[in-house]
Amino acid sequence: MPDQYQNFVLARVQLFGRWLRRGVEAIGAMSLFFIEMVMVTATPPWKLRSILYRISFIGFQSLIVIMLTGIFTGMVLALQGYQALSRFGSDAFLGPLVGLSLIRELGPVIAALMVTGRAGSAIAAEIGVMRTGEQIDAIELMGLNPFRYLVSPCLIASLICMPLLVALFDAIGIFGGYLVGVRMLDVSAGTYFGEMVSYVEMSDILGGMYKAISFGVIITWVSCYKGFNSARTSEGVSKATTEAVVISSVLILVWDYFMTLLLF
Amino acid sequence: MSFIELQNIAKAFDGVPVLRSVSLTVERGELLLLMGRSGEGKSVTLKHIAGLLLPDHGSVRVDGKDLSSLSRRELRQVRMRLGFVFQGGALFDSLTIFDNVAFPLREKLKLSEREVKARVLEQLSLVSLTGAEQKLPSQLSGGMLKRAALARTLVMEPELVLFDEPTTGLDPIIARSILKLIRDCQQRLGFAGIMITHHIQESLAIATRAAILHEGRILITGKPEELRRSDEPFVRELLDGQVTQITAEAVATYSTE
Repeated sequence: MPDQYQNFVLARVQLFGRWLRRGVEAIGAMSLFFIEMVMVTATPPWKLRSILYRISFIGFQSLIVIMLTGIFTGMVLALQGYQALSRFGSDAFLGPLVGLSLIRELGPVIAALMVTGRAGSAIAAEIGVMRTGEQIDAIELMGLNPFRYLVSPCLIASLICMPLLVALFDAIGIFGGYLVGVRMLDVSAGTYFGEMVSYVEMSDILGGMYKAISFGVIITWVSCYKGFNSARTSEGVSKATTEAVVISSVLILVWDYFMTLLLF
Repeated sequence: MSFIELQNIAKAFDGVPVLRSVSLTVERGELLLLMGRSGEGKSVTLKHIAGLLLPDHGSVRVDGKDLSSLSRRELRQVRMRLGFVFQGGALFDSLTIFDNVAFPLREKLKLSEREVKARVLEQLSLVSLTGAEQKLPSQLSGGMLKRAALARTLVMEPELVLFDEPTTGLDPIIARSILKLIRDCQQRLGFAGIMITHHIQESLAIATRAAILHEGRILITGKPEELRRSDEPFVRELLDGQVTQITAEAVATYSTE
């Protein structure tokens, strides 16, 4: 009986050890991937055609989803905010509430989650299929660095597109808030925008942009890493895509907390 | 000193040994046929020579340079001298055949667009793909894909070409034409080659030497005629057993339908 107990405990300890080792290995591999991604992106030559293609893919093709989520986020924020504020007779502060919530928090986070779902998943799948089809091996065997063709353009495009998408999300969200607050709930337009201008500071806007840039890095890093390391099967690619979206989304929310702690 | 030297290389995946102790040499200008059953580690051996995998034990030397001891930059320089024809072609599916073949010339050699065009068209004509320049890989047949992959590999004029089952998935007639093309290119360009294929009899006709991989070791190497004369049971099974195997597979397939 004690032997059985000992074996049981030993098996659990082994299992934990294996899990821990895999975790440490994954963190190490992801860190090395991050370093190479930054190093390659920071050094020329930059592949202009690939960068433009990625800007179109990550930025332009995300416009509709960003505008749709932006306007409804602003509208719901105004609706909820108005109901809460009017209880205290503070409905004049609807503009700052919508503006600050969007610019500091909801704009960067929701836009990043949308880009993760739309572009991050596609990047992971595309690179995963290239890994399965040995196209990445082919690039390496030509004596070329696949990071320069597959990862670096995505990172540069994310750094350019994310702040712009977030700015668009914020602007459309504020407009959505205006539609509900001013047009539906009769807050005066002057109060809505006037109070917003008084309360929203440049540091809020910059904080939101810093968040957007860092979220762009997270999306590219995780999506490309997962694609690069996907198993060479269709199931492997599908798993890599799912993991890319889940890990990116979780990391965005966790990182958002620390960014908020640091910035505001 | 041989151009390629594998010394006692061993490789295991998740604790399962695939290569136990593989030693092999390839001289400049020769075409070596690497044979063995499926899952014996033939592709793994090729990937070691290309530096895509590193051995757990032993060493892989290309022109005297131990791949394990090279920096990434040095490894890239060695790879510039190698070509690899993948089983599935590994063509970039978003690029046309012209751009696929031009890719290494543009990215690595930085040639002018005029020179690129001349070399790509010459290479495509060598593999009888003139007229298919603007097609995407998805628009090509299996045989044409293999030809395009061969053109992309040969356009860089490699000193060694690794062929990972270049005839898999092709009917016997197309497979024979691909093997003939490989022989013609090899004779014309003079590269060394290592080829894995399951079209053994046809491949033996074009190989200068052959090696058999069995249970993680090189069982035998020799000229094709020496292997044909061998009494070794496994060699006989591999050389003579193809028809039997195909029939057995066919019977198994039909019986499940």
